[in-house]
Amino acid sequence: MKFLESGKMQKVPWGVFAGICFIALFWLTAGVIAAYIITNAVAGATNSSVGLFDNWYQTLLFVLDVVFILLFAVCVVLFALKRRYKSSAAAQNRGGAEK
Amino acid sequence: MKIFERSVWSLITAFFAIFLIIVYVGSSIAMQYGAYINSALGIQLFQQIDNPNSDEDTEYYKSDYYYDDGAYNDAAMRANSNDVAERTASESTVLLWNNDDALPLAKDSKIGFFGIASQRYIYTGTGSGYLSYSGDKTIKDAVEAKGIDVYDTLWAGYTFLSGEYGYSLIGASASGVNDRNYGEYGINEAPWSAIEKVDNSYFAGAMLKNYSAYEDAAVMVISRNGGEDYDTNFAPNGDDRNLDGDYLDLSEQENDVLTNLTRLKAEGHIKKVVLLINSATPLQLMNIAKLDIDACLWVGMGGNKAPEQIANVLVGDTDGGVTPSGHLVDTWAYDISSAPANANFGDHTFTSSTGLPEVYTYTHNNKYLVYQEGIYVGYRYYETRYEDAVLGMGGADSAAGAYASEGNWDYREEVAYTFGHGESYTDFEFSNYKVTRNADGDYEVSVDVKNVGDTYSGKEVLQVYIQKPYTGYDKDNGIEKSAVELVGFEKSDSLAPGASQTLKTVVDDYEFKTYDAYGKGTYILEKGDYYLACGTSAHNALNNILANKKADGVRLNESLMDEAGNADLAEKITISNNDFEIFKTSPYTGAEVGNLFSNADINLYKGTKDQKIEYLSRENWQTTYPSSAVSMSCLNATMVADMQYYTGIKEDPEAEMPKYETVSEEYGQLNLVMLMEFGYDDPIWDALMDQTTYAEQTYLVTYGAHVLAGAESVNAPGGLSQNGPSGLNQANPVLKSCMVFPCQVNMAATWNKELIEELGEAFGMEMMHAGYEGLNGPGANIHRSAHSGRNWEYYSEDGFISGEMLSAETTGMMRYGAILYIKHMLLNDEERNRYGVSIWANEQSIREIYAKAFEKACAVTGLNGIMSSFNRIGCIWAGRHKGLLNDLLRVEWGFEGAVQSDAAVGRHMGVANDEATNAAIMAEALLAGQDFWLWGGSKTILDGYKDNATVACALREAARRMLYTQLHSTAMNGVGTDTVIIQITPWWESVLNVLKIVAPILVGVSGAMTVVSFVLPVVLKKKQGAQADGNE
Repeated sequence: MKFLESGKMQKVPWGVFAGICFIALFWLTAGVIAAYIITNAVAGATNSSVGLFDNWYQTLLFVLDVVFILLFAVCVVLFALKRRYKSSAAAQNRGGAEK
Repeated sequence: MKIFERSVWSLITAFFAIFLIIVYVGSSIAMQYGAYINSALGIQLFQQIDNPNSDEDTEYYKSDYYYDDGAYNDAAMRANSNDVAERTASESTVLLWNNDDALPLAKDSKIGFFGIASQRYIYTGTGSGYLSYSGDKTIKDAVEAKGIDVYDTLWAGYTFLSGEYGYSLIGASASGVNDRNYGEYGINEAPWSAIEKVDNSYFAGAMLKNYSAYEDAAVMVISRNGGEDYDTNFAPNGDDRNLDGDYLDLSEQENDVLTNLTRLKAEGHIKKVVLLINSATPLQLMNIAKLDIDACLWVGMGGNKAPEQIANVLVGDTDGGVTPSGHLVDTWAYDISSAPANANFGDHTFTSSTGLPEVYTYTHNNKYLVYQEGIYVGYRYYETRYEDAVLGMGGADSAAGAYASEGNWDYREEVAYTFGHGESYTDFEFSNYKVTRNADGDYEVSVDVKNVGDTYSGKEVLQVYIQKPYTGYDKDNGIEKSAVELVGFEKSDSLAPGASQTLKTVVDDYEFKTYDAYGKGTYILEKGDYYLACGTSAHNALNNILANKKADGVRLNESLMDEAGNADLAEKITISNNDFEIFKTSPYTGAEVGNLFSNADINLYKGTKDQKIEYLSRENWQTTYPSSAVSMSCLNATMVADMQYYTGIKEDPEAEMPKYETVSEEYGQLNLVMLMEFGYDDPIWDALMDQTTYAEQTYLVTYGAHVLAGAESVNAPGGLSQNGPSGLNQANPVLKSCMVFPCQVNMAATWNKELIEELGEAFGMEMMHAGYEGLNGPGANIHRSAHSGRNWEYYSEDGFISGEMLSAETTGMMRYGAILYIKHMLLNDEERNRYGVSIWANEQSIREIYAKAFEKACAVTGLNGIMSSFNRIGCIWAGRHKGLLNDLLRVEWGFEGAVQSDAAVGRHMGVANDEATNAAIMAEALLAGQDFWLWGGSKTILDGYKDNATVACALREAARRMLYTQLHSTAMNGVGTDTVIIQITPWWESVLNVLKIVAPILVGVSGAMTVVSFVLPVVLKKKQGAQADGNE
């Protein structure tokens, strides 16, 4: 967790980033599902069907969704690590002060 | 003050802001697709409030099956459907050949079923018409019920194999084709080695070793599929190859099994090999014919009663079955490629083009197809060329178009089984053939048919063909004449051995006409010798005509003939003078008949004046036989302009703005149901339409995805529709299953109009009991090629029998209040690129072949619906082609029904573009005669034309036709004169409306909290600072 000790990393608002990523992935996931349902409904009118990647925008939505899932996971982990680091640093500081 | 965490509120605000956008954009989309959503959720948008005290009988269309309490008796209704379906399927079966009377099988015969298709049987084709089998028997069950002993072990062996083998659907990407509207089929027959492997693994080799105990027959079943988006002109590859690289030939594995069966027969282990062909479209027989197969039955796609059909025809009528009496409705060639349409089938892209609208998934703007073969579709080609070969005319015996012939073209080597062919277990004799002209000027044709066999009963068909003279005028004016054209038929009763019956049919004198597109521009009657001949097939009738000619001294090259013919079965009728006036007016409406499709004929359309072609002509078979596809470009400015989705409204200076929301002083407040007895042109309809609103009229036109809109102002109830054509694609609510009738090719192959009308009645009652009045079907396109994927949904390669069968089926269905949107008007005869492909054909072929199939039902039977097709006719989308939908359909034929679009998915149809473009396309289509779209519904899309009298009148006319059609259907059952119809808001729409209020509130609240979260710390800080200052 060395990298968390740098000042720059300490200042990054990982929680906010995680929130942004969550919003993005939430609506992207909704978009992937909606695109699938709608394109399938249209295709269903001629009794064909489509998969998740039949159109470029479906693929784009899916790729972005995956990217934001990963970013969200990273941000959450970093947010948690940062909190843990902060609390352990605070505890150390308190310990040092008590000594 | 954690609650005012600014990052949290910022994120929440962002979340709800996106939510707000989605709600507003989403609702707009959802409203456009409202009909789809309602259909999927089973929501009836228009609901009726009945007067509980009313004692009106509001059941205008009644079923034949009720319980005593008045409820539908679904079980009895279904039993009737099954009965007529079984009779149809059985009677449609065509006995292609029956060497040494191999069939029928004697009772107590011991047989074995081979072929994976015996267990993976195909009951319908694929696509929107597909229905899964809901019968209750396997083929084995049905055959055993007739007293035949079926080899259990072999059946069990195939059950093992059916997990691994059998037909499959292969999508575009797996087929290696960059077009998502494309697909292929796998055959995946289990090869002989797989049968042996199963035998060794599970039966210790005893299965085949003991086959001799079931030596009476080895019955091999082979299947071919077809369907929407899936033409069959592909060569299966990998381990599933076909002998001739054609899906419609034997696969290597099928050939392997059949070869082994014939080997077993040669070795004395099997007495006979019987082949069942489970395919709606013809197979090519070049390789099947090489095998020593004793008998072959074409069984088509028989629907739910296919197992019983097979059992019935295998045992014949003496053992409780049926003698096959079906006759082919398509020509079966040794090589399918020999059909002249073949060169111009499939995928063709303009070699160069400029300014075309962009290509999309459902809009193939850069594709075309040329019907260069003209009228020579199916038997019209083969039989005409045969006659010319025999008469030594037109280079008919040249090498051009010779595919299966050893040298030059030879009918006997090209055609395996002609149109109309069908053998029987018994024999018939025709005599006393008479043709007399009646007082109406029509020709009454009669013949005595006698069952001259001594064992089996059976039915025979009187098939009457006309031959028109091919004259110098024809040659000068680009008119083609088929050597024979079917113009009448009648099926006999079941005749016992020795019994006879006089069969009669009337040939309308209108059938003597010919369309003269390049000369007089109308139907004409030419002088010369006409023949009306009967025969057991098109070929046999032609031979009878040739025999008649020979008797008149015409020289024939008899070495090219395969039978002598019977001159007594052909009657010559001589017309002394040309008459270019007699058929100039429509017999249905009196309207003048003129060219309507010049813009679809490459040789007449000014946009293709630099791309003229030569249509196939009997004047010179050698030089005009299409050896390769026509190459087309789209560069001409006129053509490019016409290929655009719309060109602008041509205002009608005489159009007057209609009235809206006005109650007639003369008639008072009208409800739709009050007009039940009034004709379409009665002035009371104007009064009714005056009551409606512009929004209602727009909704009637746009709300069509398996639903029909109603109208509150006139208490029109709306309704529901579903896909066909082999059955309603909606389970009966009580029986929880769909009825699957035999496919349309089977229907036509019965040649029994009365039976098909009866089937239509059963079908109509199926719809009535399921609560659906609309059906997307039946189909009436033409089997231009055996490779067309959707042939199973159309009747035949011949327009006449297609028209007769369509008329019979729809007559029965409409008797029970069905609305039938007949697919697909017009020239939608292949699946590839069907979304917007431009089709080029000459007017003679359009009228005499393709439109002919629709003509009788529209002009005589009173058909109430049509579905316009995806394709363009020339450059113009069929749904925007005025010549087709208005001038032909309504003016010439007097059609009073409604025209629905095919699924509105293509941009050229007025969807998926910007709203103004969509509206412009729709407005032009309405003016052309299109009435409503198989789409989602919008009350506002045409608001831009509210003040345009031309469009408003067209919209009103379309809405009127919609209401007229609705009125004469089961949609009105239960609607009385005092019934009130209200349009409800579906729950999902209410939810969206609530969300449209809640979302801004959420954004506002969270936004306010965000502002507070930013401001509050500053205020607190200031406050704390001030306090600190104070403390100091």
